[in-house]
Amino acid sequence: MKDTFTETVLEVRGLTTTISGKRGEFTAVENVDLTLKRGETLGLVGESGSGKSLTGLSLLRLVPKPAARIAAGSVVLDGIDLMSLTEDQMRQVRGRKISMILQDPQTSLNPSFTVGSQIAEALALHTDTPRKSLRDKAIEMLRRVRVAAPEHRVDAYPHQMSGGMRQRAVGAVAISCAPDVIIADEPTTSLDVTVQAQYIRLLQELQRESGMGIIFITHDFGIVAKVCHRLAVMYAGQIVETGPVAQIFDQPLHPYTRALLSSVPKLHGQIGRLPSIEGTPPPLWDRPRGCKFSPRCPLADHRCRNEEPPTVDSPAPDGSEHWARCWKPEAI
Amino acid sequence: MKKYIGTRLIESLAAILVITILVFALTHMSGSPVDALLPQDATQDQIDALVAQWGLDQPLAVQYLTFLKNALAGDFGDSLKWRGYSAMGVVLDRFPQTLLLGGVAVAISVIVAIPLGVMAAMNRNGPLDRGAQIFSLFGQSVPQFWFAILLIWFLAVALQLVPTSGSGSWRHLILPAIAMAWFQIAALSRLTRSAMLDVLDAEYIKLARVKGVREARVVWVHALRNAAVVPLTYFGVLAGSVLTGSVTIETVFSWPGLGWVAIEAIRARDFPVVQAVVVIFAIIYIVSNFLVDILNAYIDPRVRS
Ligand SMILES: Nc1ncnc2c1ncn2[C@@H]1O[C@H](COP(=O)(O)OP(=O)(O)OP(=O)(O)O)[C@@H](O)[C@H]1O
Ligand SMILES: [Mg+2]
Repeated sequence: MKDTFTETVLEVRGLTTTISGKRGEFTAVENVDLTLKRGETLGLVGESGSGKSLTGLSLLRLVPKPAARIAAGSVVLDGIDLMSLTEDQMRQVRGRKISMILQDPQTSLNPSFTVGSQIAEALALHTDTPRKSLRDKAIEMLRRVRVAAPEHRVDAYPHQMSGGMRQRAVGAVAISCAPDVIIADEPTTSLDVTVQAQYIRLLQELQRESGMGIIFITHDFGIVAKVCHRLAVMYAGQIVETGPVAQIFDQPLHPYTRALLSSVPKLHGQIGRLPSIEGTPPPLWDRPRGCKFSPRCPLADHRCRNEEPPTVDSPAPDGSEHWARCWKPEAI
Repeated sequence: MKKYIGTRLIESLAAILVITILVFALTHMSGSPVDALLPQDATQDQIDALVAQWGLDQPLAVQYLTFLKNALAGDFGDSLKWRGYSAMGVVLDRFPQTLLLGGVAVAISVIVAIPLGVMAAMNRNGPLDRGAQIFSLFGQSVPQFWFAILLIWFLAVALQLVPTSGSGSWRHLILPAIAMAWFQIAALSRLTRSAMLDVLDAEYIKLARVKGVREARVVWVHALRNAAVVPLTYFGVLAGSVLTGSVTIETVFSWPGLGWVAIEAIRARDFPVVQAVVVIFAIIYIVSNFLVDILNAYIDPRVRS
């Protein structure tokens, strides 16, 4: 994938989200920086519980209330800092400029309403589509996500559709108002392999048609290799490495990324799901000092365990951003 | 949907049939009806006449079929207490009063309890939620008659806002309706709260927010539409509590409805009227449950198919 993307559509700086619960307040998303260009797909990978979904929800300012709270950071979408908007203004942005396909799309449709009305609701909110044509627009959206017989499906209830079909309908809701950015949170984990491949192809086609930026949250390096242009690796609430996919696969900087990739065969070969690494990630409410990965890192020394690692830059040959948070970046 | 209604209809009719068997059996289990129908010092002639009139010399099955045939025609015999009236006539005469009281009570409880439950869920563990919790604990643990007397003492005697008992104007309706609604509000608001809390965690609620739907609409349309199934199902139970409640409440407030008739008839050993009341109570209960199921199917598309 040699595409170059120039126009920045989403820029996240220092995003920090905290959760308060029985164990007091702890940081679940820490100081996250992300950059997404128009038409680009950014993969966000990391072990379960590393904060991927929470990062996605934070971008929409929809963190679970009252437990979670966005403590700091800026999220600039098309030149507007979402953090400075009122709740009412933010509502106008959601669905229209930035949308999200939730982690469990099988249950993300409301069982009490027809699929068509759920698509139409977004259109009615954010576009000036006249009431009479809402249904036609909903049919058109279903057609765009390749749902067969959309004229009939538009009146179907979610339970009357197959899993793959529901997935597409959720996609139709997300793209209905042509957002600039879509966050797809593991949209294919619950699907079987063929349907999964179809869905990913569909997302790519939709992206080509509309030029939207996609943040693709996944566990699956096979998907990363297939659809993502750039990659961000998350560990215990932090982005530990980010850069072009090919570059990271070739020359990972962070020992964690390296460990993730080590059991993964060649880029074009058979690439499976996120391999397991010795040990488990620390609980977020009790993270170690210094580098969060240090307890599991073969290279960790005294400094790693006590001091927050610096950001090390190693730009790709074409000059694009590639950095890691590490005291001992390996490829340098 | 048609098939669903058909099935439920047949089930309901079967239930009513079973009730008639029970009522018939009870009549015979509680000793010979003769003892109930005639005074202690009745003559043998009177007894013979009664046995012939009621067909008590026939086999049980025949007696039941006769009873069923008459019951279907609404004929339970003549009232013993209210001379000159048929048992069914007495019941039908009082029925609208109970319907009025029960209807107003249910309306009050729905209007109060559903919003209260929704707001308690939104305000989880906040002051409003705690307040509602204490309120319903009180409502569910205090005996209905005691609360009714408390109401009379406070609103009717101390403040003299409404009459203590009787019927005839809408002001007479206030106390018994509140007394009856109180318990229902307590139960219904807690049910609504827990159903809402379940639903508010669902992914489709998140999706509605992702779409940019206004919070009020998320709560009152997207969430309540799904949560409503639970309190709605409870409506069937509510109908039951209106009926049983009517016995206590109508007696305390001398409200001349079915519950009051039931107590008076039992006191006077007015057998035909008691039978008629029990059958009518059962039919109301079954019909309201039937209606609830239909309504449920209408609200929840998954039930429909
Ligand atoms: N509603 C909530 N209340 C309390 N803690 C939460 C809540 N939602 C998430 N968390 C915590 O935030 C952390 C990050 O969760 P998140 O769902 O973002 O992980 P994830 O990377 O998406 O994992 P997965 O791959 O399993 O989806 C977890 O430790 C989790 O315990
Ligand atoms: Mg997740």
